[in-house]
Amino acid sequence: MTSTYKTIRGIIHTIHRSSLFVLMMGLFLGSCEEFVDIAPPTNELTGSVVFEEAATVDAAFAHIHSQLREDVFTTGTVSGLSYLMGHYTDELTLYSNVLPEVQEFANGRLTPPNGSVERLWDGAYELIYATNSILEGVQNSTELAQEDVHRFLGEAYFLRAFLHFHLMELFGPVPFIDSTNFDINSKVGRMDLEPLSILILEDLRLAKEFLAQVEAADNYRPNYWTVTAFLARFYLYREEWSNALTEVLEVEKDGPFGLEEDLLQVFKKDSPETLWQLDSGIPGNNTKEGSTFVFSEGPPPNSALNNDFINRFEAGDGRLQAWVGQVVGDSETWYYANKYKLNAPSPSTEECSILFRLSELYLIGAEAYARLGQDAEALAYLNRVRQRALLTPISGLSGTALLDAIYKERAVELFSEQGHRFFDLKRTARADAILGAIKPEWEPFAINLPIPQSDLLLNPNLAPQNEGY
Amino acid sequence: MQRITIRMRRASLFVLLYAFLMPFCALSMQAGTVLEPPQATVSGTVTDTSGNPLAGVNLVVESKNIGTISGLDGSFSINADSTDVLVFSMVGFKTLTVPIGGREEVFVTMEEDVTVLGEVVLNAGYYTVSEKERTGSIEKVSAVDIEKQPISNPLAALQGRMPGVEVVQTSGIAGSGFSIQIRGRNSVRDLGNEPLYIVDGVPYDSSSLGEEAASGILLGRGFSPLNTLNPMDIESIEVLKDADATAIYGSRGANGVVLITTKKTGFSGTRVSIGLESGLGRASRTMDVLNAAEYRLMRTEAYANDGIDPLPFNAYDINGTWDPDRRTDWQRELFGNTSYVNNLQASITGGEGRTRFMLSGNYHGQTSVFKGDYRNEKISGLGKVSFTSKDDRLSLQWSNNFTWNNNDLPANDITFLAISLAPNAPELYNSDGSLNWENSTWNNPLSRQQGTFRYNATTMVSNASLDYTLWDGFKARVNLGYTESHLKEIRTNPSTIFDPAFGIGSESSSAIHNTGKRTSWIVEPQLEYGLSLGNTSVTVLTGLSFQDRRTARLSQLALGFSNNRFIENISAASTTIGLADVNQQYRYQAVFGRVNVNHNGKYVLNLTGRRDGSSRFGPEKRFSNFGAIGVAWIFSEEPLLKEHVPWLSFGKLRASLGTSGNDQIGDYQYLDTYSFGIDQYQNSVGIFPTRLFNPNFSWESNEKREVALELGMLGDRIRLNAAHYRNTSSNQLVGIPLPATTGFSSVNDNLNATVLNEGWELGLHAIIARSEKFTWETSLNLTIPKTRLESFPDLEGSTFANRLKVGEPLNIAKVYQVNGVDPETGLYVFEDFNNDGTITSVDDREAIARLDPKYFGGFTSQWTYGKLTVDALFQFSKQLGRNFWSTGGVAPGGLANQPNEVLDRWTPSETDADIQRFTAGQSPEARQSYRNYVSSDAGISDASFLRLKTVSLSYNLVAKKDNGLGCILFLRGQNLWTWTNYLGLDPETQNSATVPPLRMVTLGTRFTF
Repeated sequence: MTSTYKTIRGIIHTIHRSSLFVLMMGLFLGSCEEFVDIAPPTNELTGSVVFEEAATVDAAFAHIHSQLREDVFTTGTVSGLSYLMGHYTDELTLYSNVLPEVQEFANGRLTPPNGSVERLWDGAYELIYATNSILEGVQNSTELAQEDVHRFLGEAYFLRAFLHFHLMELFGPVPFIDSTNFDINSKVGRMDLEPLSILILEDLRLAKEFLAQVEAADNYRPNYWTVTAFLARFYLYREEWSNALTEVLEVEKDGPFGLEEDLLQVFKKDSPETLWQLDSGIPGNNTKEGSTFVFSEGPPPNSALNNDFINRFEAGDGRLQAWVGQVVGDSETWYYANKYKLNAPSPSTEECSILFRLSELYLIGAEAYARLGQDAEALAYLNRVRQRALLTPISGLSGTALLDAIYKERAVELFSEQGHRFFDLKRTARADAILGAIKPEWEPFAINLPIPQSDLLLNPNLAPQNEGY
Repeated sequence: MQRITIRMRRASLFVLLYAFLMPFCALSMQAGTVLEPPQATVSGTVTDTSGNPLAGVNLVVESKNIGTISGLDGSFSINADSTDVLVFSMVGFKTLTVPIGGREEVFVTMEEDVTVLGEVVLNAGYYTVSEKERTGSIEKVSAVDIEKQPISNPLAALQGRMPGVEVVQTSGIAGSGFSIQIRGRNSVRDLGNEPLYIVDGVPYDSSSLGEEAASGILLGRGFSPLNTLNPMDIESIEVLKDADATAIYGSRGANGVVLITTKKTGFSGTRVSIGLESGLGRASRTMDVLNAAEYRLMRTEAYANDGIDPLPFNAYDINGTWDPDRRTDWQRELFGNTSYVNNLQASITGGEGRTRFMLSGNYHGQTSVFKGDYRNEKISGLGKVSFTSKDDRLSLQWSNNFTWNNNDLPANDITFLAISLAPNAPELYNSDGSLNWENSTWNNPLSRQQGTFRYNATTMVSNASLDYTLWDGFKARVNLGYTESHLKEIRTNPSTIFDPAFGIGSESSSAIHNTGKRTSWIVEPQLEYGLSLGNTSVTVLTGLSFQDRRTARLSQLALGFSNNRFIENISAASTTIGLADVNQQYRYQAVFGRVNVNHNGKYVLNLTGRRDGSSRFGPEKRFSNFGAIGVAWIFSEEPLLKEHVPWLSFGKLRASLGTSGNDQIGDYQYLDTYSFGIDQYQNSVGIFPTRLFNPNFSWESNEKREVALELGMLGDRIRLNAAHYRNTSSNQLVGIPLPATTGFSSVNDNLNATVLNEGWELGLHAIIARSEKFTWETSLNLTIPKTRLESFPDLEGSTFANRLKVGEPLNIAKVYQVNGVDPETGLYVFEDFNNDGTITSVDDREAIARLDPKYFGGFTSQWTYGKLTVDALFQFSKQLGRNFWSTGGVAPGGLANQPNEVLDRWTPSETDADIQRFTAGQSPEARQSYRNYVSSDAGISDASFLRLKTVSLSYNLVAKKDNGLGCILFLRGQNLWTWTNYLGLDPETQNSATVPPLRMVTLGTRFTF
């Protein structure tokens, strides 16, 4: 009896004491939930804040442009189009024996796991996401001035078209990404060339419309003229000759550009023929192309211009002197692309990577006129480029001969610039004949790069792989 | 000295007690013993095995209710019948039953009992539990074993010693990390499988403060912060594995908990200990590669196979450009140096009864195996003070641990280069001492070493705990902790790493500077109440936890110097760019509790629970509950068994069930933010979307079950533990990999997939021989893990389709299957799984290679003969692993040396071969075939190994118990032998691009006085 009583008393005692425990729980549940509420990090901006001010949206564009300069796609480094596609075509010879991925480009036979191919693809889609993120942010913003909204939308539509266009030219049918929704974008399939082109064109049309309402500030950011020039290129590749011509004529007639007659000044940052160039970033920096292509001792530590390519220059072509550098060895001479002269920083920036310049538009005009049968006008455009290169004007050509002359001119005018050579060979169906002859491993299917293996593995909807790989 | 003092103190207490109680006993006895036969007085002494008298031994006459306690000199006398039996017992000694057998004097020697279960106390974090009565799964490694290994990272001490704990050294470079996995991988995610580390009650963040771009040579995420703990200061490391033990850590317990306890304060009397250790180490393995003649044969054959004639201009190695007669063993040349290690340890402990202290200091220095002068140095100190009030109600303890770590390393790991350089590659240096570039025909491997990588890390862990007994059985406690870590890194890239042919000067040199700081504090008030209801004791614990952690990191790139000599000075740079300026905060709060019910020492019930809140999740998803129930039945306490199975000294069956969680996803991941980039454009720094926005992810939860049997036989001379665990984790918190078309490589989300992770753990400990002169103890542990992806809705359509397969383990590779070499073409033939006539990446990668170990474990043996003790630890693992081929590299025949295995290649005359025909890289088919080969099942092969991890010989030169003087000499070896068929540098790292673990031999001595 007593023991039962004791037990009960013990239990009551315990309950009494447990109230302290309950108190502790209460303390926790009641007052402290805010303890885990923390302020956002100081090194990040919340998404909505970015689109409240034009300056932060400009910073978002600054990222895209600096990526285009430093890391992806149009960069002048060994990851960029100029370098890689130079090897894939007949422009560059690889001397380094420690770059197996570039070796595949040089051999003309790529494999789906090639890291450089993957970098081109990944980098482009990373930037496409960034442009879509800007598009959505700007469209949803109520704080931005109308003029800024137009500028941002125009620029973003242009960049999205520019990136998709290059992807299409490199890989063939590719997905068109127009939202930031990862659910959709991770399962997206590839789009046929025809509808893809229509979407790209629609972006360009919108870009032109928005940018027409904006005063162009400088040529470091895409503006109305950049879009017009790009449309010319787009129509040329699509073989819509008269449309191409319209755009060329618009730039020539209304644009504030003119050929730089001094070949040595063409690639300087103040060249009057530049439509779009990439700011070099840190003051005093020059181009990536400079550090990639220029060398001072032989044999070349990395790559050199192909000797056969050098032979393409006609005798007396001023560009061979002005835009090609050489290193003379004991028994051999090596050449390098010397459009950009500086491979190190200088007191102030002198050269920037140029993405669009007027002479390309003249050559587009020449080709479009030639295709339309207006040989005289075609030759006029062609000769303006030739004369600047200190070559004698040509005359009397027509038909295929005229086109061949224009193609040859494009090769020596635009060499080592953004893969022009490859895109030209591809669109004019001359790749097999020219590259097949010099690259023993070349196969007709190589005209499309392989879809990166990593993405095929992650998204089965991208299958099938391009033919041949 | 101090032991004797304690004994005397204890003894005098007992004597007093005895003197006080005796009259009562005598009184009560008088009444009952009137009719008993006449009694004799039996006297004698009790000693230990070394002959020292034992005071305070309990002495009972078995048949009667009387007893006594031995005196200071071990003597006793008691009234007993000549036929009676005396039972001697004392804590720490084996109970002894001695029949008097008519003797008047009895001399007894009591054996020390080191394996008495009840005495082994395990740290379970918020509470302690005896080995005997624990309900959870807890493994322990004590100082005795940690100190036997010449290691600098405490995790190394766990290798091969604990069932269920897989510790892998990632590189032989001093300061690099260890990966640890407790009971396998629960998450389909690759990262975030780290256990929770707690040092003296303070959570310790194991993630590095390093800048990825800087610390490239150290694999993974930079240097391991655990490296800043001094193994010599560690008293014990406990690993909590099952739900019962980990649920009280709630959301952070899913991957297990590692509790590190530093050494205790001394008892009364001052004691000094000084240890010195020095040794040498070399890379434990190198690869057997082709010799110069074989290499030349391979290269010429390759060009012949590719139909290239004459040799092209850039075949510098065999076209006469390089001296064909040069021979260099590049592995020896580039990572074959001897690493010297020095360790100096000194400590002083002591105190006066209620106030005690300890102070310890350590210096550890190690040089590297790379060519060049590199060094890793570590200085650490540990101080502790403890105090107990006179009424024993208040006790407090304060400890402070400080480490300074300086590591000088080359900027790059050139191990793979060392394997693949042509044997006749040019000299490293010109005669004038400058780097030789051999007219731009090679990339001098040392060019990359022109840059350096250096870090300086300091870490402080400070902890205070206060205990106050409010009233009997009711204790309040508060645990306070503060940690602070600093890291300063610099990595230089001078222009001299480039071939001078580029004409690049110091204006292109660069250096990355990174400084990081992390501070954290924790406050944990707790209440504990113990209650006894008859045979049942109940312990209740409840507490709160508040934790805050801030991480700040500033990383800068300095570019362009007027001279390379100033490269380490930021202010000398013409440009500096901010790479990262990170400020992060992590907050965490919890309420937790434990109820433990113990009935009769036979039935134990343990309930634990925790409610957690973490700032890592969106406002709607912050809180969650976790809990576990554990039961144990100590069946050897059942009278029936006690009576009928006397050889069974201990038997326990235990089981647990519960949940714990995981929040290792990084801070702020639920926010939609833009981050600052590093590149400028028109004087503005770019900003970019940080991540794909998803605010809705939440805790990952992990349900754990375990059943275990623990047996002790023949007085616990043989102990056997067997456990089966079964963890199911669902709601997987994952960075779901995404194709690049999304603009990102992954997004954080909960994935509705279930992973079953189960396995067997066996532990066996046996004392094979035990006598005064010779003892031999041995133990074995074995883990047989098995993980399986149970379910994954819509796996085929998800981004995991090509990485996982339902019914298979998580750690698999889907690869091509090689069906040998085609005798016609000399190229590999692959299984065409989809029968479409070509081998393509997705559909034909259907061969599954399981990369988890089939089983792993360790085997230790300890022999003591007189003053000599020999310890050996073997570690073994039966597993498949990625081999040399999967590292990639150049196809055999190209300008790179190859393992000897390639000699078994296809030639027109020898068409039956394992390796395809050599190619100089000019044959697209051969190249493609090799590309497939490296991602085939040939890139994965047996990586099983048996490694003699540790051997330790120690000789007890002087051991005088009375004055505490001692001197021990020891010789230790680490990674002495490895038996393996692995194709590659090391089966443990499974990486041919880093230095394998070092083989170390050290000699040392320790004095105590």
